Amino acid sequence: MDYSNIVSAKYTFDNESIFCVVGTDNPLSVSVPVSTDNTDYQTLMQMVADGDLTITEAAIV
Amino acid sequence: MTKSATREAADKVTFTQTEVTSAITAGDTAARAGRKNWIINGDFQISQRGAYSSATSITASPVYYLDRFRAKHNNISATTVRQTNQTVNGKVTNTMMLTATAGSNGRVEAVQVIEDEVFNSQTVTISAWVISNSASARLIIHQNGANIQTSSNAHTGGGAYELLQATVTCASNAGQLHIYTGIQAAATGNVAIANGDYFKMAFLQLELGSVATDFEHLSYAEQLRLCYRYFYNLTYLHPTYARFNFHYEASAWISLAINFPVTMRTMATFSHSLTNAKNKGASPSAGEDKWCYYIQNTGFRGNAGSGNISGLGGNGITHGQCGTVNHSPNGHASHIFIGTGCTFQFDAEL
Repeated sequence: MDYSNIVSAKYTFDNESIFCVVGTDNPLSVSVPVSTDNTDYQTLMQMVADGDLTITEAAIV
Repeated sequence: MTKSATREAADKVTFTQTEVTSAITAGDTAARAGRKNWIINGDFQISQRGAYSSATSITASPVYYLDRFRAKHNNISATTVRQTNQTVNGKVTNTMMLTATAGSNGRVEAVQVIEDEVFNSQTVTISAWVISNSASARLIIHQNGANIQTSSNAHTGGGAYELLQATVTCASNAGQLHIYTGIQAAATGNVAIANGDYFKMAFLQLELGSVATDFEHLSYAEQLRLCYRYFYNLTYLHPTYARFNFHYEASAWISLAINFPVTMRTMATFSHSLTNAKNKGASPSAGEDKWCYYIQNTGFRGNAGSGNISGLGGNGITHGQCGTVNHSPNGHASHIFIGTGCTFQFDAEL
């Protein structure tokens, strides 16, 4: 996962995962599970703690 | 037919336990020990993320290229390449190469993290055949729990293949082992690197004991299944496209279940490149970053409705359950075709 090119990040319904759009020219849709064993999740949480990423709350459906 | 007196005498010879034990060589022990190499893809057979058959730039952030190896540089620039059918130590194999494309005080490295934490207080040996023009080319065992690094002998920099190896008895709190390979200091720090310095290795092996034995060869199929635990690229081996059945609720929801060949290490990250604009409305050609729906007795269909396939998301360990809301395939489509040029993969790497 290219953490330096995250365009947006939001929690999905029931906070099961974090849905990210990565890149602009040929964007990737990336679902990162809310799992402490997942290294992508670990990195996203560190980015949030460092103030480098904001994850929006899940939309109410 | 009768035995000669010499033959009869020979048949009656017995050995003491001491004699038997002393006659067993390290090679004998290795040969009877079964699986021994803790490195996965140590002969670089598997490369699901790309061929990397030409020099590919690597970044300062660690990124996985060849399966199970993440590479990066620090304070320089560098490339990686995978070469096939190389003759090393009289055997044919693949190699992984790292090359500095700018010089400075820095490092270039590829790392494999061993998932199993079974090395506390154990003696382990790392080895590989390495060719380099740098006298700072080396292998390093990093005990992540104890924060201890053990370096192999450094390469002479003489431009020929040399066997590098290191043995260490791990600490009681060794934890995970991280195997660093590349041009680096003995404790994984920076060193003087010149533009054009290179590191190429083959037959990377981590084994229990204090002896570097012959590389344990696994078939392509065996290595691939080991790699699938950490990364699964659904379009890797398909000739043109991957095809899945999916569940469709009219104008509301599509979902598809993707069975993984092996249980993944943990809940996997799912990445894909599908967008509405990439719906070809026909079967994707080999290598195309396109996809489409198929409707039985109707044929391939373009996208329609108010949905957005880029919203397809999901995760899984034993299988991926992926879906998106409010996506209308313009009829009761039963299949989705995903071209081999698409990104469509699950990642549970360390």
